[in-house]
Amino acid sequence: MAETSEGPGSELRTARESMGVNIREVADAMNLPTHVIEALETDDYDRLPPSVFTRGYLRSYARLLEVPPEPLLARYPEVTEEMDAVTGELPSVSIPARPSLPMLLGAGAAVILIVLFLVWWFADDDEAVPTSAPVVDPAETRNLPPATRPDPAAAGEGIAEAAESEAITEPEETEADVVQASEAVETEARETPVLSAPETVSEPVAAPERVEQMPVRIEPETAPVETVPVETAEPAVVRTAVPGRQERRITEFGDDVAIFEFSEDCWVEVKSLDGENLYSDLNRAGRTLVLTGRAPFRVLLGYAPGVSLRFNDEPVPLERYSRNNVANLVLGER
Amino acid sequence: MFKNIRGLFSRDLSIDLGTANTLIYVRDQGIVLNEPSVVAIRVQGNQKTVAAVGLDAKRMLGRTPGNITAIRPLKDGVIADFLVTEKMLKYFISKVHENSFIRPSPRVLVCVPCKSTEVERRAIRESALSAGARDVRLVEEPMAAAIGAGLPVQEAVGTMVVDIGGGTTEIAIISLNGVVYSDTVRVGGDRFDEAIVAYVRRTQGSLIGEATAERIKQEIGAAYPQKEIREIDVRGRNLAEGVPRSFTLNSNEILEALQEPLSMIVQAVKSALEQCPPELASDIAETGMVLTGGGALLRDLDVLLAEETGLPVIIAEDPLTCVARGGGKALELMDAAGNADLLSTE
Repeated sequence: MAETSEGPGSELRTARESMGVNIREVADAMNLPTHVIEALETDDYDRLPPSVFTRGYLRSYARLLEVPPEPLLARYPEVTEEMDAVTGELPSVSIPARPSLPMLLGAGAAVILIVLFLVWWFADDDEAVPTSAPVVDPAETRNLPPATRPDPAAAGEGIAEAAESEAITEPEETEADVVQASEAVETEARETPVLSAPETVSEPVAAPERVEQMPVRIEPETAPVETVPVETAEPAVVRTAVPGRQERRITEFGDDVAIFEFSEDCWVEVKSLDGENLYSDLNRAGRTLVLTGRAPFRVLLGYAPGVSLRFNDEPVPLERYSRNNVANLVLGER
Repeated sequence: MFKNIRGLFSRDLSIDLGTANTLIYVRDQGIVLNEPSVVAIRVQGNQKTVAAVGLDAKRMLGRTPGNITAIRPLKDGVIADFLVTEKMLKYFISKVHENSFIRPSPRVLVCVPCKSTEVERRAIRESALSAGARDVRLVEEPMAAAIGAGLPVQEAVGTMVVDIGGGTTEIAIISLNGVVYSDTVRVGGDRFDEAIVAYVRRTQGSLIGEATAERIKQEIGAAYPQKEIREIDVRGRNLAEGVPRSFTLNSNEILEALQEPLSMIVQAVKSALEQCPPELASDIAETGMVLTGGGALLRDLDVLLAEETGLPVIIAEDPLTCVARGGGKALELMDAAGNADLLSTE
C-alpha cells in the first residue's frame, strides 16, 4: 500500500517531529526496528506484521508521543467488525429471542412428529370401521327376487327393508345385537300377521352365512319348505323358509360329524380337549348345525332339551349329561 | 438422548472459568455474561443453600452475616470447591439461556490453566457436565487467549502470549495450533490486591478489605514509574486505635507495593524466553509478546515488560474477554475443521 494521508501514520509523524524526537529514539523506546516505525508512519501495512501487532504498535507509539490512541486506531483501515464488537460495551445478559437454526429445526421436527402422531391416531380410528365392515354385496342384499315380492304396501316389505337396512348399516354387530334386531323384526312380523304377504325367500343353501342374517326367521311350529307363490294370496300366515343348515369344519383333519338340530334357541360351545375353542355360537330354533372334525370334542349346550344331537349318525342321549337343562359332554372320547 | 434433544435448544458456549471472573461467550452473540466467580452460601443448620451468585454475591464479599459466606469456588485457576463450582456453572448456563423454556444442554468449551493437573481438569469437566453440559471440551487458556487476541496461531510462526488472570499468569509460546512452551505462575490480580492490603497494613497500620484494595489498584495502580503522581483517599480500620481512619495513597506507593508480584511475572516471562527454541525466539523478538487478561489493564505493565525483556510488548484489544472470545472461536475452528481434538487438550 502506498502512502495515504488517510491512515494514522502522518499524525504520528507530526506528533513525533513536534516533540523533536527522531525515529531511532522511538525505535529504541519501543524495542522495535526502525523500519517498523517508518512503516507505521507511512501507513505501509504490507511491511508490518499481522494487524493485531500493528494495532498494538500504534497504541504504544501513540502513548509514547502522548497522543490519545483511540482516534488513531479508529482510522486504522483494517478495523474489522469483530474488533468493533469486541471494543464495544458488553451486551447485557439478556439474549434476543432470535431462534437459532438448530432451534428451528428442533421445533420443526417436533411439529412434524406431533402431526404424524395425530394422523396415525385418527387414521387408526377411521380404519377400524372400514376394515372390519364387510363389503355388502348389493346383489346379496337384494336377495329377494323382485318377482317374489309382494305388494309394496305389505308389511313384509317393510320388514325386509328394515332388516336390509339393518344388515347394511350394522353388519358386524355383536351376535347379541343381531339377535335383538332379528327378534324385533320377528315381533313386528307377528304384530301384522294378516297383512304379511306370503314371502318367498329363495335362499340358496350354498350361502349358509347369509341365512343367519336373514331377518325372516322360521317359526318353530311352521316348517313348510315349499315356496308359496305370490299369486296364492292365502290369508293364513305362511311363513316359509329354507331350514337353516350350517356346515362347518372345525378341525383341519378328521371325519367325525356332529349334527345338532335345534328345536329351541340354544347356545353351543365346542372345544377340543385341551380347551381350544373350536366353535361357539347361539343357534336359532329350527336350525341344523353340522360340525365336522376330529373327535373328541367337549360340547356345552346351553339348553339341552331344545337340541337333538347325532354324533357319527348315532343319537346322543343328552338328558344323561344334562343338569339344569345344560348339557356338558365329551363326544368321541376314546 | 434427551440431552441431545435439549441441545437443539441450547447454544454453544465458551466459558472462561476464571478465579476472579467467569465470562461466557456465545457464538454469533459475543460475550453475554461477565460476572465475578463468587457464590454466597447460606447455612441453615446442616443445610447449605446458594444465596446469590455472581455480582450479587460479590457485593456480599466481606459484608456477610454469620450464616452467609461468600466464597470463591476457584483458587489459582482451578476448582477449590467442586459442588459450589457446579452450582455456579449451572446458574450461569441457565442465565445465558434465560429465554429458553427447555432446560439447556449446551456444548461447552472450558478454558483451563496450562499447568493444571489431570485431576483438576477432570474436576472441571465433571463440574460442567453436572451443570447440564452435554459435551465438554477443554482448551488451554493461553491458546484461547491467543486466538481471542487474533494472533496467527495456525501459522508456523512463534507467538508469545502472557495471560494475566485473577489467580494465575499463563505464559505460552504458540506455533502451529500447539503450545510449544508454557508456564503458569500463581500470581495474578488477586495477588496484586493482597500485596496492596499487606503494604497498607505495614505502612499505614490500617486494615483494608480486598474490595478496597482492588479499587486502589484500578484507580492508581501502575507497574512502571509514572510521570504524574496520582492519589486516592481510602478508609480502613486502624489497627492500633481500632477505629476506621481515612488516609491517602499515591501511585508510587502502590508501585512499591506491587513490586514483588510484578517481579515474579517478569521472572516467569524471562524464563519462558530463555527456554524458547531459537527459531521461535527470533519470531517473538521481531513481533513481540501480547498481554491478555485483566492483569494487562494494570497501567504500564507493557512498558515494564518491554523494559525488562527488550522486546516489543503489546496489549491485546479488550484483554479481559480474550480468553472467552478465543474459546468461542476455537469451537468454531473445531467445527470448521471437523476435528474436535484440533485445539483441545487431552
